[in-house]
Amino acid sequence: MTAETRAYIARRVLLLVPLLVGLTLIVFTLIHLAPGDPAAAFVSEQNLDPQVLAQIRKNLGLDQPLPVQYVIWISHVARLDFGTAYTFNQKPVIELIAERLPATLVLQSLALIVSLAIAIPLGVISAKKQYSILDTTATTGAFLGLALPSFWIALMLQLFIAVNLGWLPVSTPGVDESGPGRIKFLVLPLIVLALPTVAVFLRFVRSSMLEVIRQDYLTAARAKGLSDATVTYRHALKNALIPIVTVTGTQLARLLGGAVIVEYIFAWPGLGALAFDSVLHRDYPVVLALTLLTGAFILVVNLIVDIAYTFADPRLSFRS
Amino acid sequence: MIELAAPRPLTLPPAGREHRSEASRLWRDFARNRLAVIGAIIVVLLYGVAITAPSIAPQDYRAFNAGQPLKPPSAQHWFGTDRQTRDVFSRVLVGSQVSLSVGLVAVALITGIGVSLGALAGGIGGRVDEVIMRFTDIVLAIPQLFLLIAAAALFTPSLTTTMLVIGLTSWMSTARLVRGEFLRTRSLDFVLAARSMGASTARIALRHLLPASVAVIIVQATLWLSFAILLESSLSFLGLGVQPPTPSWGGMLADGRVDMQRAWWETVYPGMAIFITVVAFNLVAAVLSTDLITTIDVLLIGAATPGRCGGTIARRARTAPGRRVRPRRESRSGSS
Amino acid sequence: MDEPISRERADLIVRQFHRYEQYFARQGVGRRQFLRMIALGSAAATVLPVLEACGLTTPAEVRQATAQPVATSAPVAQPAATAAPAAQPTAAAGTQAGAPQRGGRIIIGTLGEAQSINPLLSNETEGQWRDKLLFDEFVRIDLESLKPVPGIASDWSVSSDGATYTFTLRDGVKFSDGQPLTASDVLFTLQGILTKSVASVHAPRFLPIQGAQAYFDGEASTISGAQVVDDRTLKITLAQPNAAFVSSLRWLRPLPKHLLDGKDLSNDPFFQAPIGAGPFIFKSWTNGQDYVAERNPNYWDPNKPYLDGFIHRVIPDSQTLVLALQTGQIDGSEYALPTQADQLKAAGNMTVIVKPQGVDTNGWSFGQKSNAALKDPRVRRAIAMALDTQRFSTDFLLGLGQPAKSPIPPGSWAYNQSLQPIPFDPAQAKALLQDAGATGLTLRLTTNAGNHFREDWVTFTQQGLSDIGVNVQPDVKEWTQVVKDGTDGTFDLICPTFAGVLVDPDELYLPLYSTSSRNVMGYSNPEMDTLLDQGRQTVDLDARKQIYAQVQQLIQQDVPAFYAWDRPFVSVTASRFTGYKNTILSFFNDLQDWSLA
Repeated sequence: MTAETRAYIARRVLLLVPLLVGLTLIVFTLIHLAPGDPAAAFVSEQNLDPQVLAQIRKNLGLDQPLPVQYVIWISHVARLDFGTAYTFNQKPVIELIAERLPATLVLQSLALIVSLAIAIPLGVISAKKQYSILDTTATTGAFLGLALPSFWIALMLQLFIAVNLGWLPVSTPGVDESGPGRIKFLVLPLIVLALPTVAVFLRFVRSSMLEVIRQDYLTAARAKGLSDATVTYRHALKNALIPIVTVTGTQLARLLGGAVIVEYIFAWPGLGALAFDSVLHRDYPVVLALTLLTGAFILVVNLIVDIAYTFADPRLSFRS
Repeated sequence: MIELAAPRPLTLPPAGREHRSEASRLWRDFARNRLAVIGAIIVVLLYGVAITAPSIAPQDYRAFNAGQPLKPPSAQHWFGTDRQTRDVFSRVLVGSQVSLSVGLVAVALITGIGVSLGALAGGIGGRVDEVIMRFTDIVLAIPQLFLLIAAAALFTPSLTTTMLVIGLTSWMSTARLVRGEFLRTRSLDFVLAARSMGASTARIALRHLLPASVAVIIVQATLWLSFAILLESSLSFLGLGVQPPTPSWGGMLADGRVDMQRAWWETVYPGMAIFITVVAFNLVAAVLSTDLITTIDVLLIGAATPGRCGGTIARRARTAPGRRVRPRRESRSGSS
Repeated sequence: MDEPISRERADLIVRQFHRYEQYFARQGVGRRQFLRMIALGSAAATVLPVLEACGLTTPAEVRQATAQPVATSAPVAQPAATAAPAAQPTAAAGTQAGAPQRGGRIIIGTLGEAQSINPLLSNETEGQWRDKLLFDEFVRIDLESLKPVPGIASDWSVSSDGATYTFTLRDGVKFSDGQPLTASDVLFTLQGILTKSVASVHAPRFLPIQGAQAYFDGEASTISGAQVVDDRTLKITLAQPNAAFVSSLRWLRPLPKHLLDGKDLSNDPFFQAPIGAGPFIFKSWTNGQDYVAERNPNYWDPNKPYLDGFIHRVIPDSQTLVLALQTGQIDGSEYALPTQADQLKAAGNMTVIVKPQGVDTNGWSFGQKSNAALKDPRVRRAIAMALDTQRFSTDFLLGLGQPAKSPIPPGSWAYNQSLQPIPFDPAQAKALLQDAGATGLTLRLTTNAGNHFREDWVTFTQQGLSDIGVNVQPDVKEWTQVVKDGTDGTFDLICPTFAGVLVDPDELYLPLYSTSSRNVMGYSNPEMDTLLDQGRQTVDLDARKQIYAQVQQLIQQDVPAFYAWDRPFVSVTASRFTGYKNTILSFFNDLQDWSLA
């Protein structure tokens, strides 16, 4: 790593903090501007008392002017105190997120790994053996994965595999199952999540590989007597991987955002569902904490992706 | 995607008249490719349906048929009736307007913004690059869901907000990809050649780097066309999309889900409509993307740089568009 | 099974066997076939009850299996009595003989997660239900008559002026940590509810107590109208007689003073793992997933609860919820949609019940504050007359919901049986509008997204009202925004009405009384005010009934809110559970009475 690169990385890392603060400012403003009252979570259709609502708002600190609220919040965060949720039984936000994080991590990282493991080899082989049966099947399959909404695919899977065939359960196990038994609850959500991801990756791998394979220098390498495999994998793949690194980075970055729809349908208690619920109920502390967390994660991942570019293609450097 | 056209041989037509014969050759290849033609026909049909939908629909899509909720497909209602006693066939027809326009506008936004920002970042580099990338990072970091819900809350959900929201929150990957391509190609030989001849940065970006990235852009655009339609249906599922009674295929899927076991026609027909649309667009784009690379770069490069120099450069670009090229022993300008 | 068969019995069996063999031989059934039938019959007799318990058979299968022997199954099974003699392969319904079985665990599915299990704060169905089972209620509501019955208070008496109640607490009530529950705990909870800073949603219900307002406003340090006489007696004096007061005591869920004295009742860690005196104790709660509760060994009723415990599971998607019922991942729920009722019945191992009408009466409230045209009762009545609620119920509610005539549930003692529905007469409606000079109106109909009945109602209303020249603009938005509009009164038409009745008709007081802070519609009618005051202060039930009959008539005439249709609810439970009643309250309300069949 050159000194230039090190300086670049250092600069990016330093920039993280102001970026995050900027991010929270934007989201804070957005969520407060959005009409809707957090106190409404404490109101039912039979019981709507304006006085009580006013008191609740006061208890939650919502009667203060916006900038004051923001300053209070950020000063707490500086001390790593993310407050307690308005709803969710007023659990401390950190505990809430810690409770939900593993579920999302497991689901999303498995989906990503499985997608890559399927898409890269399949894409390479498809490119090498263009127009073969494998190629046609793989590309058709990729089509299907991208052609229907995920909630519909989820429903079809649930209906046919879970209800009609009874092979797998329709939703999360709750406290009943633990340990290896939990795997069968993962399968359906995993399929639904992985399908579009595989499709996207497959497309990229294949088209990148196709272009690279045709190049002169590969002909030159083959002429030199290098084996087909070496040519394909070492030279072609490495170049084709650049856009793939970018797309993986984007997917990875969205990891924590969670797949709201999949989590919602399969009752998978992850961060995506938490995000949706908290925004819907205007549970500000949770929304802001989640933003901070996912924002930091995304920024870090982007930085890593950019660094990975240099290793993939040494001619890219960080000259300003 | 499904490339049934044979890859074209890497020979060069004489310089100067390239684009005309290129274009006609492209057209011939395209016409020979049955699937692409079918795809194109379907796309044209879809747009035809979308434009004429209200007139050709047998019933007003809002009309109630008293006493007939969830009736199976029959002679009076080809696709059956939905839970609100409305004719599903009419709603699918009218729903095409929403779904197709969402796809188009969103993709236009995404490609427009993404390509511009990515080109600026990758082409100019330096400070500009950093600023744009950090801005992209921030927007990426805001979970799309928050933006969608916030948008839905601030502006009552409607067709327009849906289009805008999808477009404005999805350009980031395109920008990053285009930037990546630009970064990779800007230090290549043929670009250096152009630069040494005094071409300005803008000219280089437009005439050399951009065509080189076309492959990536096309793939992204067709991906997002499908994504946009699917994203719209997800938004409807979450209640943030087009509002009733306006039909959209995604909305019909979302609403009819709960009746699935009892009235499959409520969701299967809109689902098929989405499927056919996505497949048709992708078929057309798949074939285009193979030929488009070579076509466009020849067209632009050939037309841009004058005379025989252009021809030489075009040839170089043709051999391996936007990729690393071993220098040939040819002079920069002169006989070819 | 353990005792050996005696010689005489053995002879009897053999003789009976031969007799049956001859009988069947005459029918043409050979010995081998006869033996096979016996084997099947006894196998069925043994295995089927087990399968039933696991919910894996349908009544159809049961009937088929037990119908194998050509004659009746029972006498054939007995002679071959190698099986457990007491086995009865019945398709279990809600009946059983003898004491309910102890044991078993039920998994109940719900769509929404509870916001809070702090009984002072929780204001949505899930949290309130969990609290009811955690803390028990001071006074309970009978599921069928909807009248107050003993809870933790085993008895009460009213003074002659109707303003003072003396409650006697039950013997032997203990919190799950073993501490006894006394009247001081009840008073402590009452004070907690009436503490302004706690912002308890139930506070307004207890303001009728003498001195409560002063305590609430911080002017007094005790509630003068609430006194602890001794450990088991509590005396409550109201500022004025209030017939509905006892019913509202079901919201008084005693908290343990010994654990919470001096703490901040709006936000104490106690509520992360609460301890109460109810039939089920808190075990664990993974937010967004499972809430687990177990039988309280210290519960005051030594026999109950029969079930070992329950799990309250959140499945936010209603389609997945129904599928989970079908695959047996959950055992019961109140949230199956009517459109899915048929599938669930077809599965055969579930009891599917349509709840009585009136759980959720929909229509809208007219926002007189924001739209002056709506102040004219003719305009309101005209709008109500333009909608064919019968058609809506048949088509959109799939015949399972009914048109409504009143905010009071049809099963309630207060329901006016002689009410006639508002007629569907668009011509008359147009005439009325012209009379009132209100043609060409534009009205905004606000409702919450995600409730497809209400969304369908918006579509239906648009069409119906456009027929009489009223333009309806749909305003479907998130619940939080609907609440904001509701509390601020900035709506033309809003659904829900925020003026519904579940248990006691006095619930109409706050939304309809002209000077009430909860009167968000801006409705003002002195006749209504008088009636509501009378209804509240009359203690005699028959007299109250007459008064509220008039209230309902007045509502129909004046139409401050249009009560149009009752949303159908479908309750589902696996057939192996019994002890439920079909009630307008939560299906699982008295879970302590449930047991395995």
